[in-house]
Amino acid sequence: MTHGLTDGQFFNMVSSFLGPYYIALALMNGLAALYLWRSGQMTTWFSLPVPAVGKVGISNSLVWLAVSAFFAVLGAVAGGGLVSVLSLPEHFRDTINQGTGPVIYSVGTSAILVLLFIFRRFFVKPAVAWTIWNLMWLFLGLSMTDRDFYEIVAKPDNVPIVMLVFLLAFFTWLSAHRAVENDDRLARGEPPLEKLDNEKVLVWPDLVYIELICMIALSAFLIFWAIALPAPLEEAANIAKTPNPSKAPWYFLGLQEMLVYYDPWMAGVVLPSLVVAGLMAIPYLDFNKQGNGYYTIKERPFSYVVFQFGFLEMWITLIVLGTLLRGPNWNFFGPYEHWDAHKVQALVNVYLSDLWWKDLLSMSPPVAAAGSGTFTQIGYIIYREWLGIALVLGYFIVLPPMMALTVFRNFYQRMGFIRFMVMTNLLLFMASLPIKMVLRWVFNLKYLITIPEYFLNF
Amino acid sequence: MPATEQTWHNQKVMHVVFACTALVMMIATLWLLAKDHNREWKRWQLADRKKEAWMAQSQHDELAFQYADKMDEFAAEIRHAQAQPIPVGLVDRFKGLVTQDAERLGKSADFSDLDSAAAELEEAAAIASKARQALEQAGEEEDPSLSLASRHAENAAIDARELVLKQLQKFVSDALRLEKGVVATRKSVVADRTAAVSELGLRVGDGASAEIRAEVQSRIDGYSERVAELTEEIAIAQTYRTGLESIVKQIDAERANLAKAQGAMTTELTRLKEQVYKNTSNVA
Repeated sequence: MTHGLTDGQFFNMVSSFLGPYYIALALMNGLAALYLWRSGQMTTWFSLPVPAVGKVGISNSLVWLAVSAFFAVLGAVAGGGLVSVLSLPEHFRDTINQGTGPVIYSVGTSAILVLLFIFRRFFVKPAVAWTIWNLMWLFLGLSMTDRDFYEIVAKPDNVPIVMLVFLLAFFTWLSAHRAVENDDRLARGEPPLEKLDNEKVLVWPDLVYIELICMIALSAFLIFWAIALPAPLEEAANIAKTPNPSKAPWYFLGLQEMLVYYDPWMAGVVLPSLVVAGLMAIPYLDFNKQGNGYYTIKERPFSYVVFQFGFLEMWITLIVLGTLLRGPNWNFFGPYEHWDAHKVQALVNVYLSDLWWKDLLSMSPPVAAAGSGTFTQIGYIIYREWLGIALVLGYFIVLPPMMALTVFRNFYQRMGFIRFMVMTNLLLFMASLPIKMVLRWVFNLKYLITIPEYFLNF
Repeated sequence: MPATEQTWHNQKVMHVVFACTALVMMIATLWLLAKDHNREWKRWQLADRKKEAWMAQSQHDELAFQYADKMDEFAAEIRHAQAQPIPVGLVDRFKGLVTQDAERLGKSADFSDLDSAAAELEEAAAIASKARQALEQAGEEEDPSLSLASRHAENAAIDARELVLKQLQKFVSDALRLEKGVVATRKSVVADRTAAVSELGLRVGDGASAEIRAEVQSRIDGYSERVAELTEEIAIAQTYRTGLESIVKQIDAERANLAKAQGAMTTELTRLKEQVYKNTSNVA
């Protein structure tokens, strides 16, 4: 996209985008300030001593107005072609590139989610959320002046992923904000917010008419988008020149990332099927009758945590990772790193059976004699893979009863045997991904069970 | 409580919003059509198509001009080849094969039509040859009557040769018909044998006596022998038919080779014509 452009030409191109971008952010904050002022939600955050005047109260509205002015200045600077000064420091970008990798990324995003959940009462405050929101946009704007970052983020088919990150951040905040507020209201013995506004309305025109208008407006938006950022049509397929990296459509990139840790039939067939089956099973597994029709976390903490972890961490972050951070040869590249097709990452993956037989017992894995019967061969395979088989069976068979007796005792009593077993097995399958990730990072362990003879690896 | 007609939103405002979105949608659609109509490479693509068409047409015209004389030459040479007498040796070989096969089948071969056609061709070819010689001797001072006479004589020779080829083809067709007949007979006998094998299986299943089974087995053996005979017959019939076809091909070889060379030129001209058509129409 920026290939063949000099730095000057590149900055010119970026400034034509960043100028309006920062002005839009200035407008966004200006509107926020106006809304707070007009809606009577203006509150004084702190006071500043001003000579000859005395103490002047600084309200939230004034702060966002100042932020708006700050973005307006950035817009003027960027529009004036001085985008090179609006960049993140190079050593900061290098540090991010060198410090990031699949491990840091996965663990980091998980840790952020945990922090957001634990301190949700703080993070859902509109002022805090709005600050984070502004910082996200600022970070994106400052990063756009980096050529490698721009190459990835501004690619027309990656733009939706960036939008997805922002939209998800907004809607996750919205739901958490309302849930926290409802939890507080319920604790005070008040009805949830949704109950205050539960007047019945007519399907037509109050619902369907609005849906029709939204449909038309969104269709028009998609057309404008398609005109502004045409889908990149590539040259005709050529088996002698395959794309590197060869990526699935963005919504499947989570699955493609799973291929790093699982056998293709597991990552491509079994686990996706289980995801669908699991989603279908939710209404039959859910015994909690609370929290219907309104946002809440306290009344449904288990459902909330499982869903947010499964959706945000194991689906969305994997899509973002696959789209923006996986480059040629499916290597991990930092956000400001050049996608070098010749990047070499030394990695020797091992199988558990090899660890057991070769490393621990210093002997060759048992192999059936040539020409032996099918059952003999299967016997030898089971003997060779006994440790992995025992671990996997233990994981899926022994753990559920232990869970029923300990941490999930209450669940077991309320759900009954079959529902509990289905739920725990689905949960264990879900948990197997992070477990396999950790095993790969720590021990370079590829598969627990390796039976290539029957295309069965786990 | 009675139903109320009161709506949640102000309908007048909703209509205005709807009208605005519809307007935006219309603008988007028109913009889309305009963008598609004025697509980035359209001008160059159209210019390129015109260029391609012009080049193909030029090539076609150039080749048509180059080929014109050659095509006439080929046409004349083909006529000349078609007016030639058939080498006696080939006809004799053809007749030899037919006679041999007739004897094998215990029949007699009738060559009267072929012989009379060959004699007619001999005569017509001699006349055509003489007429051509006379025309060639006249040289540059071409006499229209000589030219016409030569052309008539050549036409007569061509007709006579075609008649001979038809006669030869009759024998080839007969050979093919006989071959197909034997193949059909073999198929029928194989079907009978399959039925007999099935019958034997059923008999064995039903616990039939050894005599009955032996009778069916003997029938199967009979069919097998017949199949072997017919297979051999088919091989002989095929050899005979391909032998005849090969001789007919040799007789017609000169004309076929000339027609092939002429066809290559015609194909090239047709290809260029199609290329011109593709680049001047909306055919994909």
